Amino acid sequence: MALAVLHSRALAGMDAPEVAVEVHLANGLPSFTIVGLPEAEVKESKDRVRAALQTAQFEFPARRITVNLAPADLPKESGRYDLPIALGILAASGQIPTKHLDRYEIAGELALTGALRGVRGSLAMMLQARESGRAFILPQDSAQEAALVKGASVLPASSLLQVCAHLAGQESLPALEAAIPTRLMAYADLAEVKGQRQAKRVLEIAAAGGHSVLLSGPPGTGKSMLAARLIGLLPEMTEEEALESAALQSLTRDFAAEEWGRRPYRAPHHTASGVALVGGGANPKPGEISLAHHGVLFLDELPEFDRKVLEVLREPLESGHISISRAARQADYPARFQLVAAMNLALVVIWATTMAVAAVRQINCSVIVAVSLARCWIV
Amino acid sequence: MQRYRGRISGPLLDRIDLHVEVPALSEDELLAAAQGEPSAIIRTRVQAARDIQVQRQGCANHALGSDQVESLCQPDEAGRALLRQAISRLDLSARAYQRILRVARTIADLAAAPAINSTHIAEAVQYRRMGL
Repeated sequence: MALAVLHSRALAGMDAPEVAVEVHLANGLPSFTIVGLPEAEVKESKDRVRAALQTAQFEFPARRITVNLAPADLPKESGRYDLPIALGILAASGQIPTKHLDRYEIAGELALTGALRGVRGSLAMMLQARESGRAFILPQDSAQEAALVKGASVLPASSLLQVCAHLAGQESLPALEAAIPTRLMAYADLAEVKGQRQAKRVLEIAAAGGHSVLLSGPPGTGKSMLAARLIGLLPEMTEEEALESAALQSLTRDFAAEEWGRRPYRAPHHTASGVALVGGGANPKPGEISLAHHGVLFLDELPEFDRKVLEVLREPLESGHISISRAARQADYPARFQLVAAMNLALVVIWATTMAVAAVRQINCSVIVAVSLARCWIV
Repeated sequence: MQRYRGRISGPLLDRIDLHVEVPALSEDELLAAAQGEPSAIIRTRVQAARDIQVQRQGCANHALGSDQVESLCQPDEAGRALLRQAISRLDLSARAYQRILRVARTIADLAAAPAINSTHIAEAVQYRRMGL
């Protein structure tokens, strides 16, 4: 049969919609076309697939090859379609059997040697693939994080040949058992901080109620140390929280299985842009606030941050999620983070300055002074 | 100084629940060996307080809606009097008022107290004494 259909997944924000990879071989001048809104990485997969098939001693069919990635209106990015496209060509040209293909979902980037490279977001893909009831064939590097999903059926492979042997029924891929770490997370201990009893009490209250904190004081008194220790006071993550957090981390980088259940602590530098904090880009990626989901976002030197940048934090701080809209697509990321801010100036100094400035500016000075005195008294 | 203050003023500070001073340490404190409660012990108290919250309202206190604050965070008579005094002296905004009540609820939960009393209110007000 000159047609093969395989299943894979795309990534759109936290969502991983199913993508059908259809490969058709027709008579005519030899050509290789990929349709279905492929981005640069997907277009380049032609050359990787051709080389990988040839190195693995398969025959690359000299026919008119059309690859369709459906749904047609969903943009497809990254190299994760290399493996399904290669298998589709093999199946359509009769080099591997087609009958079991719809039992699997497949993603993986091919090296020219035929080895498989890891893909981004395998945890987010697995979360949705679980509902389809199919097993997921993934590169070895990405399989660990996908196996963290409860009830997931993950088949790790390290090369194209291994996957072909599995599909041909010669040597099956061993299913990966989820290895969820059960040990307690080791966090920095609050006992290491000298003195600062009041600040420690405030951290305890913040941890108990999920409140945000502003630490102020001269440099070198342990503000950063205190902030970094808040994650160690927070209650253990529930499984659902750990899963959400891990899925978000896996969208931007490889997620190590040992990190499972560790509350994230993000401390972006004060030169960070608004997009870096809340997320964005033509294909919206999560920002620092989403990476700190269920954890702590520490903004040191708060006043040094660009004011516009800080303003964008206001809305997600209230709502617990962020909707990023770009011309082509929208993404919605959760962002339930706990904010810890630090600044060098003592609060009293700031307050006194404000009062002085206000007093000079106001016509009715005496009223202000009266109010200030009243405040002084209570402070 | 004015520039520094100008950059952080506004609604963002208003949205931070707890303001605390981290003063420079005295020589004695600096030379003494670090001592204090280890995180693990504090975490058990935190966990207990969080369990109370989840059982009562299904979420942590910071996420309480304004109607929930009205129904779940009402202080007793003495607490109410103290709060009234604080509102007039510090001329607190409506948002600040709600935030104080949420923090007071957490302080009460840490002490496993079913009702918010004046000590809890006093401590909560103390962490917002700038009246921001």
